[in-house]
Amino acid sequence: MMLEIHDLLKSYGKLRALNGLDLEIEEGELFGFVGPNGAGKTTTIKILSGLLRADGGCIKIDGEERDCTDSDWREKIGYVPDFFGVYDNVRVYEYLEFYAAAYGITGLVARRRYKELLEMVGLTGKEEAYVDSLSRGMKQRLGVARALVHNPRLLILDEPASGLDPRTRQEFIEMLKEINKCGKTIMISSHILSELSEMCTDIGIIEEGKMVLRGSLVDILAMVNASNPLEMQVYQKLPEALALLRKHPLIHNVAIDGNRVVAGFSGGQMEEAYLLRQLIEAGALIGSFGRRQGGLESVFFEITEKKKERVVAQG
Amino acid sequence: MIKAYHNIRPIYQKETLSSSRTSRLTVIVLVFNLILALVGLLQLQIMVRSSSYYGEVPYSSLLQMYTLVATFEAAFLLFIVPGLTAGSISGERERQTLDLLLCTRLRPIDIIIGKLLSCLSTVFVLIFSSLPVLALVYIYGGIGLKDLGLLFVCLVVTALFAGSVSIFFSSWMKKTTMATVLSYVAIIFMVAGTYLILDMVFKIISLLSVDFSYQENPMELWNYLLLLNPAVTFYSLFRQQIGGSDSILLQGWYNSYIITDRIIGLGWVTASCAVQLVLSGLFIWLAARGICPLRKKS
Repeated sequence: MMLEIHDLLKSYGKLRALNGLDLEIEEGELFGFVGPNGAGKTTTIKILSGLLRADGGCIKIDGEERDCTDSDWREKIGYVPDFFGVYDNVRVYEYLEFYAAAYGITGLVARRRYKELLEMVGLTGKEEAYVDSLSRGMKQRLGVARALVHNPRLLILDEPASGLDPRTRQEFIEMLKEINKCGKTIMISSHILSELSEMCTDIGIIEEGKMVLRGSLVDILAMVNASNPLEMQVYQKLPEALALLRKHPLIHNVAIDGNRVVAGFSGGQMEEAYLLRQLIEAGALIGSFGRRQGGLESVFFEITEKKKERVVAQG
Repeated sequence: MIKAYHNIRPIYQKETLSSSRTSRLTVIVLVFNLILALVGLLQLQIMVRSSSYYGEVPYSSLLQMYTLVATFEAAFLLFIVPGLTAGSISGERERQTLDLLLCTRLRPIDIIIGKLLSCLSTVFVLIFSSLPVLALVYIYGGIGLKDLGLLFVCLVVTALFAGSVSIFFSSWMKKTTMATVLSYVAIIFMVAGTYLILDMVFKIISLLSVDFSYQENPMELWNYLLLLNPAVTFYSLFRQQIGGSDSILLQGWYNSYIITDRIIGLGWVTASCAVQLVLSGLFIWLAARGICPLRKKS
């Protein structure tokens, strides 16, 4: 395990931002860190970047407990905040050389490094451009290059694609995927869940300072889809099909909209196949049949809604 | 030491690079030297005119020219340094680049010293560029290289003191405007405020004491407040250089009084420079505390 966080605590006065957060990230993972506003994402990221001190808990890297405020720790982390942070009157290569020098990398090594990075983030040829003259998307790419200048093991991005147009955002996602393919572990927090589901291998959902769900995206989506209703298009013998569905022991809540039928179904994939055969044998002409597909949004809403319901019930 | 140099260098290099790309430094050097040259030449002109009238050049006029130019130089530095330094950290905060710097291997103290050194390098440029104007005094003599060296040291100490005060406010204030205003208020307090406080205390003591003598100094401890005052440091330096004693004769609102000439075995100039250097160190340390993200321990 590359990064392990156990029972992380952080309070701002009386407000508890992190309430025993547990998180594990494997080497080479592209981890999506999801949560509503105020859930504790940025606090976690700032603690990992050495910008905040945790009140309690432990953080391990390669199984060894470390202090995030150490300069050795800072060498292992590359941080891209949700703002650009650029200087006026500084050229792209000078900007990268400056941050390289801030990590103790100078001379030819720094020059070679920034050239590699500019190629990696697609800014080759922009070395001489002034940083403040770059477009928003280019500045964000430059921010990633800056965070990678000291070759960190973990790249942390806080809402990196916010404010980018759809094309630039897509290009940015592709760039992150490429960086991940090069072996870099990436942790990315975002509110744009569709973009996370597009690129992340694993996700963790944080709510009120605690990790409420953690796993691979495929497993989580399968788990959510299994609880989604069945959807089918019935073109002939609709009354017979409805009668069959209503009598079926695994079906509850049948809803009809023209030819479209939506039914809550508590069976597995095998039971779904049997049900389809029964409908066809009853003479129904089925256009489509299957579970409603859920995205990361539906997982997110389901989990955060359940939490709210629990709070209301307890209240 | 080598590690500190490597840590300070990136900030220093970046700052000097950025400032060299703007016309600000050029304008400051031009205006600074223009004013000094005008003051020096005007005094020279007055001297030449009076000599044609009286048929002699009083020695005191030559020294007066040196004092006048050096005073203008010191006052100008006190005015410029807060403007150069007060935005250095708050500007990083406003540009949202401070967190990025704090994420690197650089320690807060490296960032502060790097910024301050970059400001001081501008001060060095100003002082060196003003040497030709100061050299006007060599036309007739009276001021030696040692005197100019002492003046240089005092100017650097004053710039460091004003710079450290300004960077302290820059570090603790979120906005550059606020940091700049507070820096100027602090400088004004040190130059005028300390003097006014001392004068008021002197008046109160003189009102309360029955057998009060103006030539005796009944408020020894209060006098040390003036060690913070760069203007008094220069005043004392000029008195020493133009042949007076190291003691300080201050003109209050109503009365004049003499301040002790030796403090713990040192002259006033040395003692005040030492105090200002110590305070500069303190302000630099506090400024570093101001940007340290981890200063609030749980």
